[in-house]
Order: sequence, then C-alpha cells, then structure tokens
Amino acid sequence: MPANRKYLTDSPWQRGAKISAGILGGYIISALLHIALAYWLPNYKLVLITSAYSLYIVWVAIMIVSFMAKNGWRLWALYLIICIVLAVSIYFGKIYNPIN
Amino acid sequence: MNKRNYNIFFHTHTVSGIVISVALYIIFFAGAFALIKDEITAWEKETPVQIEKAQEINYNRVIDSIKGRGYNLYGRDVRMIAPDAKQQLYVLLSPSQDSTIVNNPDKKYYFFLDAHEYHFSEYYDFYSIGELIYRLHFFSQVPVIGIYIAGFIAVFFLFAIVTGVLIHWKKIIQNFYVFRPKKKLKTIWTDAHTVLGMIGLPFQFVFAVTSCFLCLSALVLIPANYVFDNNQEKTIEALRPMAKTYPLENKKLDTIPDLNVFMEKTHSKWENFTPAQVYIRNYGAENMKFQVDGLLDPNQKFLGNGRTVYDVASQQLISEKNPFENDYLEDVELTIRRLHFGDFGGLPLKFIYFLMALITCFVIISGVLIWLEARNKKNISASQKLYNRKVGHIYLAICLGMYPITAFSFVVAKLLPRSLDPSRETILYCVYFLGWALVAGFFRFLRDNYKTNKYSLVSGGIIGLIIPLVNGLTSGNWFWKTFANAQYEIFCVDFFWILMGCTSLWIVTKLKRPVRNIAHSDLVTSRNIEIKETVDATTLQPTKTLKFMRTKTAILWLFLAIGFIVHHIYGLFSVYYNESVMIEGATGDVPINHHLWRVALEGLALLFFLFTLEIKKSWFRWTSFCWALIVGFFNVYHFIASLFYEASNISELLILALMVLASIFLAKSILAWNKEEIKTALQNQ
Repeated sequence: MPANRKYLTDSPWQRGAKISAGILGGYIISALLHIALAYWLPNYKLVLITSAYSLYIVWVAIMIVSFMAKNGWRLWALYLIICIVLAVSIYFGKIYNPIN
Repeated sequence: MNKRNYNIFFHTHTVSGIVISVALYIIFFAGAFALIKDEITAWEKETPVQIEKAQEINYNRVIDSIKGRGYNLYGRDVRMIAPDAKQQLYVLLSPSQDSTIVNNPDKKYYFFLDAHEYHFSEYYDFYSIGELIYRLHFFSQVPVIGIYIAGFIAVFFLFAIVTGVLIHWKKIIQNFYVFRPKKKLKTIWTDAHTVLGMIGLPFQFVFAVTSCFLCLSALVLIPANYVFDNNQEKTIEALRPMAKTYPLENKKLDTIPDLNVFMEKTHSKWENFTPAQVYIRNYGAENMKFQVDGLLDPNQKFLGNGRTVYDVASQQLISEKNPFENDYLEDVELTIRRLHFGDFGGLPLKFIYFLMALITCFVIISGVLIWLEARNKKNISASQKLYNRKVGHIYLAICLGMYPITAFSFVVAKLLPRSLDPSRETILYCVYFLGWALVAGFFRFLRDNYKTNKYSLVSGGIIGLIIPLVNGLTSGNWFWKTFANAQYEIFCVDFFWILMGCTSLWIVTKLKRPVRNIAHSDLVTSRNIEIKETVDATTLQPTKTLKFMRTKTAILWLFLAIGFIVHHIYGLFSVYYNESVMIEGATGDVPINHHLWRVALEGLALLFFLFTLEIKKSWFRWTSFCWALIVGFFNVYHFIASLFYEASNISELLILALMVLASIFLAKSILAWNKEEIKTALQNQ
C-alpha cells in the first residue's frame, strides 16, 4: 500500500520548495526562535543550553509541518514572514534586554 | 487526521526511511558494538583490567613521563581522560599559549600513557577493531564530512520516527498486539515493523536527538555564538564551565608543586567521586590551574557531576561544583552523553542498549522489506519491479553482509601478532572494508534476499562462535576463566559473541521461505518483452541514437579527464601566489601514492574515453557505470571538503562543481546508452 498518489505533490518545483522550506527554513526558524527566546526569557543561559536538544526537535517539527502545505511558494513566504517577526523581536530584545 | 495528511506523512516516512536506511543500519549495527569498544580493546590486548587501581594516577609521574618524551609543556593545557577498560590514560596537549615558543607552537598532541607503568604509546600504536567499529558508527572514516553525514542521517531519522508515530497514532494500541505470522509476507513485515518500532520508540527517539547534538553541535553553536556577539570564548565559558580557559600570564613558576595534593583534596571532599577528566591549564605559568572533573557513582546519583579548580601557585580552591547539587546548565550535556553512551548502568544496561540497537536494525530492514513487498504487485511494470528488486538486493547485501564481516574481523584482530602493530590499522581496514565489499558483492549477485539473510546469519553465527574459541586458544583467556576471575570486561566480549552466534543459528533453524519469488530470469524476460513492445511502437532509428549516446558518454569521460588535469594546474596557483615553491618534507621524488591518484583519476578517465569508442559489451558498460559512480561520489565529496578548506580558491571550486555536474551527466548518459544497447539488441533478434 504505497501512499495514494493523488494526495502527493507532482510538480518538482513545488516539491523542491517544500523540501527546502522544511530543511533550510526549518533550521533558520528554529535557530531564530531560540535566539529570540534567549533575549526575552529571564535566563538566557538556560535557553541556550536547552537548545542543545530542543533546536533539533523544533527543526524536525517544522520539517514535518512543511509537507502539509498546499503551495510551496506560499509556505516559503510564510516562513519568511515568521523569520522577519523573529528577527524584529531579536532586534528589540537586544535593545531592551541586552546580554552581557 | 484527514486522508491527505495521512498519505503525505506516509509518503514522507517511506521516502526518508528508504533514503537513510542503509546508512542508518550501519550506524546502529556499528553502534551496538561501539557500546563495548573499550572492552573490545581490552579483550584484544589481553591486558588484565583493574579499573580501581588504574584510577589511582600519580600526576607528577605523568608530567615527568610527558616531559621525558621531549614535550615542552610551558603554556599548554594538558587534558587527561581517566583510564577505562583500556587501562590507559588518554592525554591531549593543547597548543602552547606562549608566543615566544618557535618550534611547532600551534601543534596539538595526543597519546596514551599506561595507567600502571606510565609507558608512552601513540594513538595509532594499537588500532583496535573496537576503535574501527566505533569510528564507523559516525562515519569517521570519511574525512572531514563523515560526522556531518551521520548527523544529518540522525536528523532525518528523527523525522522518520515522528512521521512513523503520526501515521500509526490512531491504531497504535491495537496494532501493538497484532502479529500475524501465518499471513502473507507483507503483513509479517508490517506487523514486525510496527510492533518493534513501538517497543524501541523511546530508545530510538533518544538516540536520534542525542546524536543530532553530538554530530551537529555546530548548528547549536551558531545561534549561541550570535547571542554572545560571536565571541566563542565567551560562549564556551557561559555554557560549558568545564571548558573555561585562562589567558596565559607571562610569569613562570619557579617550581611546580606536588600535583597529587590537589587530587587528594578533591577526593577528601566527596565520597564515591571518581575523576573522569583532569585538566592542567597554563602549565608552568603563574596562573597555572589544576581542574578535576568527575562523577559520582551512577548507582548513587544519575547526574552527579562535580568539579574542583585549584590555583596551583596559591594552592587555593578557586571554584567548585558540588556533585550532590544539580544544576540544569551543567546537566543537559551530561544527560545527553549518558543517554547516548549508556554508561550509567554498567554492563547489564549496555546489554539492553545492545538488544535495542539490534531491534532497531531489524526495524530498518523490515521497513525496506515492506517497501519492496508493497511494490511487488501485478499492476507494476516488469522493468519497475526489476529496478525495485535490484535496490532491495543491494540494500540487503550491504546491510546483512556487515554481520559476517564484523565477526570475521574480530577473528583476524585476535590472530594478528603484536609484531604487526604498526600496520594494524591498515590491515584491519583492508580486512573490514574490502571484505565487506566482497561479501556485499557476493550477496548482491545471489539475487535472493532469503539466501542473503540465511547465509549471513549462518556465516556470522559460526564465525561468532569461533571468536571465543580463538580468544581462548591464542591467549588462554577462556571465557569461564575470565568469568571466574571477575574479568567481566574481557568476558563480556566472548559472551556477546556466544549469544549472537547461538541466537543467529537458532533463527536460521526457524527460517522458512514463505512465498516462492518470481525468478530473476523470468522478470528479465518480461521486461525485455516490454522494451521490445515500446521499440516496435516507435519509428526511431535506434542505431543513430546509439551512436549519439556513445559519443556523448565518451565526451563526458574526456571532460572528466580534462577536468582532473585542469584541477591539478589550478592547484599550482597557490604555488604562484602564496606558497614557497617546495612543500614541507619534499625530497625531490614524487610519492608513489600521488602517482596512483593521478593514474586512477586522469588515467582511468582517459582509458574509459578510449574504450567507450571501441567497446560496447555489457560488462564494459557496467564497469564504466560503476567507476563513474565511484568517481562521482569522490567528486561530490571533494567539492564539499573544498568548501570547508579552501573556500577562497574560487577557480578550483568552479572546476570541482563542474566535475560534479559532469559526473551526474555521465552516470545518466551511461544508463541511457545501456538502455539503447539493450533495445537495439532486442530489435535485432
């Protein structure tokens, strides 16, 4: 019982977009999320040491969720927006809660 | 879950699983043995194991024997890892921080010191089969990128685990109790895959996550470094207190005080505290430090890591971590390592880990077999069936061939006389990897998964049972003697093999070929009929396409040959612009292995170019395809490794990227040519 083809992506571009969004986008979001949490949570050291395992779990979760998307390009767009939101929160986190 | 998502997860589970299956099998099978790598080394060397006594190291004597070998210790950090079953202290010398030292100041050194006699031995003096298998566990034999490959395999393994849970979620409890061994082949594999996957789930999840960290820690360091403004020293100081370094003070100590005092002080602090690593930082300088990192007995406390740091000159304790108090920051990494290496419950726990690793191997294999059986249906074309079947043959040949060759390498390792120690590594590499290639080749051409399985179990089982015999005969360490003498480290290796041997022979007696397979030749015939039909349907002139395909293949070989030559010329660039003309250690003679490299790369590519124009036999097409694949893998590896080492050499990177591209085209072109030859041959019949 191989998976039913009618539910799978046929276009190689769409497939490429989803795979790249999952692997590359997933890592970038996971990394940015941990940096942002380090700035906004009370103990940045604990966040960073937790990332030793949580980084990979979040990454793989995003990878899996990516395949549920209907359109790979929109998925990338969504991931870019998430990245920007996280980047902005890191920027302000750096100003309001500097780590040194 | 809706149908769409179910199918998507099902598909991604299948694809990710199949892609990583062989590598993952190798990792788990090697990992099962890597658990007892130190015991294996002790078994091979026949050293009596007295860990209690080996732990009592005289640090003054250690320093004296290092100095006796001519090392200048001033300004270096000396890192010492406590002896285990190997009975050796592992010593690492960091580069000296003293900028006035001119002879090899930036060089690291690592070696072993005997824990009883303080003999010095190089790391490669005794290369154990345990070490080989341990390194194979994370593909360390592939230089530079091996460990990253293993890391990404771990990431995709995690992916496969989670998607696997998702697709089975709804029926996970019912399916757990379902086993239908009397049904058809596919149900058996599916049931076994689900149930064993379920049993091993927590173990596999832990392994996937911990190995992600152990192999790809660079990916965790990137975000952490960002937070610390890319100051790596600050990052390490904050997150890994054990690795804190101190800038060198340029005042020397007149006399180095007795170092054992610090160890005694540490020991008197906490009961049941065993040092695991000792650091002497900034040796000989005013701010020299003596640091002990150790653990409580795991029976007493699972996470009991402690530390003392003494300032040597003032004899003062400057920082400590009480092992009886937990600290999340320090415990995360220890937990990851403990869970991964299974070193907290002694040999019984390692035995459970060992079983779980073998179960995981079975889950991987049954996954491949489900994939095969699910695609062995009437509505699938003969050529597709043939392709799937060949993939199955190759996968199983590589995976199952690992068992007999591992057993055989143990025998060889035990029989190698100590006089061959200098070439031990080379011999073991040849035996293991060439032997593995031979066994895998043999199984692949058996073209019968049932026989592959049976033969590998029989041969592995018999050789496995021979291992304790060989050990007893050569060293007199019969397993009942080592057991009676409480030499459990040596005993456990023999015991494992007796158990492995008996189990696999027992399984063989239970093996039955459930369904008769379609013979390979029948499939080939029906595929040929299929091809003939397509040939008749088209009006293309096969001879013309054939000529074109051959010319194309030949040109691609020529491109590769020229590419290799151009690459060599680009290599000279560095001589023109930034290096003195003669490389270090050059004698005027070209080393023989450099000739061999050129012959293998340029020479063979040119040879295949020439032969493609003249020979069109089937064996030649397959030989050139295999060589094209090997060269292709080499090109991909070379390109990635160059990205690490010489990212600035743009022209070289360009030619290497082109080589990768040409290799891909070449492999495709040979396949197309091959297909065209078969078509023409069929048409001429």
